Amino acid sequence: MQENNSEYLFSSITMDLSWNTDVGETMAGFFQRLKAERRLYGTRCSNCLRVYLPPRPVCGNCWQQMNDWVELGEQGTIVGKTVCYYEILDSMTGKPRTTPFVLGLIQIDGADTTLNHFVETPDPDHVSIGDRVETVLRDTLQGNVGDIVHFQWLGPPTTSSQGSKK
Amino acid sequence: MVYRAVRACLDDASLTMPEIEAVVTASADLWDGKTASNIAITEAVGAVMKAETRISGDGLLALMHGAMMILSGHYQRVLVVAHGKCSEADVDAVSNWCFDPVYQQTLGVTDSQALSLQCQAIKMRAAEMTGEESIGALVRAPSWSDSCGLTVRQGDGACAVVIEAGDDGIVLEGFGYDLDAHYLGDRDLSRCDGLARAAKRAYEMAGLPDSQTDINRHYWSLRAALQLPPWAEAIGACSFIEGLATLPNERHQIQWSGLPPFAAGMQRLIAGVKDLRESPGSDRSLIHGCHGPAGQMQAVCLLHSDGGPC
Amino acid sequence: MKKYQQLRASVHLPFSFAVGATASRFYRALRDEKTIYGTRCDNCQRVSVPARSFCSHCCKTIDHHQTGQWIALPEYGTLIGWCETPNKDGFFTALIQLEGADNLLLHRVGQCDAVLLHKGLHLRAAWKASAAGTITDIVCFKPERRA
Repeated sequence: MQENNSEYLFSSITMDLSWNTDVGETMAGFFQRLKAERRLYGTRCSNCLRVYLPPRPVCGNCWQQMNDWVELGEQGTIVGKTVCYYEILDSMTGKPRTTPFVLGLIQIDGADTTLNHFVETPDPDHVSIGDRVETVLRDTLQGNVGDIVHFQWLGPPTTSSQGSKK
Repeated sequence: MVYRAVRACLDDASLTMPEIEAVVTASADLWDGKTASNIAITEAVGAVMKAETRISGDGLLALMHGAMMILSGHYQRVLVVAHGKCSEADVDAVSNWCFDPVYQQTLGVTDSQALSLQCQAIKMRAAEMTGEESIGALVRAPSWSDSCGLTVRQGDGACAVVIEAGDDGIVLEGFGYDLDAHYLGDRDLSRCDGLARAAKRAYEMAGLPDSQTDINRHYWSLRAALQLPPWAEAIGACSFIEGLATLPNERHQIQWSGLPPFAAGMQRLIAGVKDLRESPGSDRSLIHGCHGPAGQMQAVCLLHSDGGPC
Repeated sequence: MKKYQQLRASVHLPFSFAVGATASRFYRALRDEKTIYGTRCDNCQRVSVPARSFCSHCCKTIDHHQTGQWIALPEYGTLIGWCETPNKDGFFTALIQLEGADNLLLHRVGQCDAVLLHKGLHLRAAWKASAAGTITDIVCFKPERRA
């Protein structure tokens, strides 16, 4: 056989796998409360009193199971943000999200940890750390992660919004 | 599930989580869809702000990794956790992705097909050695006609152990592992050379001769009972024919379990430790673990008890 | 009975794996010449199929530019092992001994009655009409009466 061909081949395979993942008792409890009360809840460690959102079954710092649910505020504070100019697939819709958009780390009033989610704003360049946001839930809640549509940017903290912080 | 296993382990050892210096976990992200990059169980195993390593393989490999951390002198006490969660996955689709993407995956090969090819190879070797009639009788023997089928249920499970530096009580005196060729056509599936090499490494580390007189109990990880003859042959416990002859009764005599994947080897280890605790005098057990298609990866641990309290 | 909330998590990730120089040549030959190539290791003389870039026994490089080490194997062989349960497509995953190879070719056997399958059965490759340069350019190996 004469080897004078340098055509290189590729194996094109699409990974199509799916899992029926049990969301676990803790996340199920979070979704049930969200659907019933249109409220975000976190879990609190009875040892260090840290409030986790998203809720976790075990406090990582104290290695202790958490059974206390804490009702959280409707608003929160941006503690980290980035403005995205590159189109990525929105995992909620499977379609590219219009750029630019803002991804934020949001500390909901009453929680000690942050959620990462989309921040909806008319002006992405003027979103600052410390700004206030409000949770926007979809009209008909289904009890899953898509229930939180985004967080609406409200602007820099005012006296009244600061006052609502627990 | 994982938290409960770790809790039970620490309670058994009378330890608290702050006394654990490092954590090694064993799981496979493809099978459970979650445990990539240590995301799913970090809190459950108490690994926040600790040295955590994840092994994508059988729990015994994680145990060996933990033992090597201790042997390095940098750690005194390591928690090792293994879990398998296969009930949530399409096992055939997932295991097809465990094969190389150019050749074997393209052919649609799955884990259960590899097991099927191996069982057939073992049966054929047995038939050639003993004559068709006796193998026919064996195939029909109820003790393993159910377990060498292709409908192996995967199941879920989690196991945890703590190992620490010291030479009292039950001692991990030797361990070894070995990885065989990936292409199924490159191996003689009716034999297990990888296990023979893994066992040899474990015997050498423990300072034992290859002969098996000193080992009182074997704890096997078997996906099908038919794997016992070549595996018993590989570790030098008995000949292939002897393994075959004792097979119909083995279910009652030998501790064996190959499920759930990734937790199986660790589960065998815990069973071995529990039996050694009951043992009054000097006693030695061999723990076997494996994973991969048709037992591609093989691991052996040797446990010794001096009969003292532990 | 306890109710669990489940999420259907799916991945749909397209991959394009570069098969590499050696496998490219192997699959080009399948596609263009309908020929199955093995490679012989200079050190242990072992012939492996599909072709390899190095010997899996002695780790010695098999240089794909030295054409002498490429061995054209026959498209026929004997059945050594097979899965007793058919795949979804009706074929049986099988291990086949090609004449001149020192290992077994993992492929599938089919286009025949399952009861015919036995160790030593003579098989011949059934080629796909439109070859694409993958292992499935051989549809399967099917039983053939020995000439």
